[in-house]
Amino acid sequence: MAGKKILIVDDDPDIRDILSLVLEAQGYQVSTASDGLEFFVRLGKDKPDLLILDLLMPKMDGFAVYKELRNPRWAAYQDMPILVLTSVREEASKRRYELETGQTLDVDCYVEKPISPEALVETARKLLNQKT
Amino acid sequence: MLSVRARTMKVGQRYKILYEIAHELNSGLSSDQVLSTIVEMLCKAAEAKGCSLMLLSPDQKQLIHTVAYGLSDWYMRKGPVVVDKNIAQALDGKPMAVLDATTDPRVQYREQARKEGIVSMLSLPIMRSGTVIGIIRIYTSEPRKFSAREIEFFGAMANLGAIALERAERHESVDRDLNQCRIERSNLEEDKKKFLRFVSMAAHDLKAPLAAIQSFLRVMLDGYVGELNEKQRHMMERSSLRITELLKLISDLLDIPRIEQGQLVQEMQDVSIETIINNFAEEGISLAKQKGLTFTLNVAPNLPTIKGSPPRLQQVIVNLVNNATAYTKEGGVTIRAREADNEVLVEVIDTGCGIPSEELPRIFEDFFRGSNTGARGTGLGLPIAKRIIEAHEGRIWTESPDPETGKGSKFSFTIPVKGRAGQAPR
Repeated sequence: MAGKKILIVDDDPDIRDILSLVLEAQGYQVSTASDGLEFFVRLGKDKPDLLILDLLMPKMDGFAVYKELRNPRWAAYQDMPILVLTSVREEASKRRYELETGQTLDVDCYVEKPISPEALVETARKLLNQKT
Repeated sequence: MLSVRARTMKVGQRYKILYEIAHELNSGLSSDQVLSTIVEMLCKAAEAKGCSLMLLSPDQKQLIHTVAYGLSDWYMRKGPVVVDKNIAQALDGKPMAVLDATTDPRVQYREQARKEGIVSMLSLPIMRSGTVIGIIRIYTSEPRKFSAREIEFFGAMANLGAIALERAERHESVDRDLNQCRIERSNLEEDKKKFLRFVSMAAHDLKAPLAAIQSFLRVMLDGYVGELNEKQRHMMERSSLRITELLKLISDLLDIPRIEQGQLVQEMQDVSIETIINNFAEEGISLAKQKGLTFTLNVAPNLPTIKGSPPRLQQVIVNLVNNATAYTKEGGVTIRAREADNEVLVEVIDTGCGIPSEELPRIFEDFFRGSNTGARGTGLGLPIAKRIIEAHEGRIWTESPDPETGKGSKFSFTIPVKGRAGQAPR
């Protein structure tokens, strides 16, 4: 379990700090990006086992990240679980994505902020276990 | 002296012409088309050279050629006819016949008439709602005396045309009004959309920092940054509670425009109330347990499916059960569901303190909080529930005390059964 890599994409530095603090305490290797563009730069270098993705971000938002990850050029990350962590309601996000792309937003886990450390740790553990 | 050609028109011929003109004018023409039709039909009926229609200018001082048939553009452009005493006679409702337009001093454009080949002229008033709005003129290329009968007949045709014109204008004005309404409505909808976007942005901007604060508090409360003493823990827990309330208020405030914008309708699908209630059972039991209350489910078998938004209906049930447990100290909460009169009826019944009768009518008002407040709420739970149920074309109401048990309160809502919604009483 320890040593697994988690990449956090969120434009809020406080949220990035909180997530890093909680997840590092569990022994995970955490890296962060503040928007979608930065994420794709990090993705190849960090090769994360789990992605924690915010939806509303400047430059390239979480919806665009999710959509781009469906592209065959990222096939190597097809199995990387995605945990969406946002303050947007789940049904609102799903409807928006469907309206904009005609496709469904099908993430492994959808969690609404604020963060409960206990639930976050539990969810991360579950998602990382699924993969192995 | 000119030799005058006399004409007679058979009665049957007149009927035929009147029938044709009425038929033509009755076929939904625009006001311009009505005017052209009148002059063309009159010209043909009179077997004349031409016919024109002149409308009074707004200041009533001139007659302006509006449409013509059988006349040259040059003649039409000769200029307006000034309303003098002769014209005034025609405008007074009396037809004016001119035998030789090239010499008659009553004619204002004698020279032009000669060049155009006009000899005789008959001017008939066009009336609308009892007022003369202009004249119709029939022109012949040979001297012609119009008989009283002919004048009467052409006058009737002109009036028929005036009626058709009035109707066409009324149609156009209604169309204009309708169009204006449509534009205003779409502007209003656009404004509402903009406002909704603004509210969503504002709510998100409020939520983001609150979510960060709340997350910090939870991390501290969970001991990630060291042990807390009793007082620190207590105050942080209270802070966290207040932020939870604030986040709930923001999410409630966001719900209202969403529901009112009809977003619910987009979420609607075939749903079974039974599934929704059963999904909530676990949460309901744990809610009741925390307060030492019983929780009873009483759902009739084989309830028909309804058209609805599952998360929103769930929200209503959560809301009602939360309220019921908050106001109940002993006894329990019951959810009952059955079919009645093409509707699914859901009831949430408690054995709590009830609602004072004077507060009952206001219970669904925005931000109304009763005097028996057991827990701090946003004051929007029931109003949102009402909006959700009404978006489903259902009804929601409350009785306190519950007429069956004589205590507590009963909240009921109905959702029309799918496919029979059209006949459901509203």
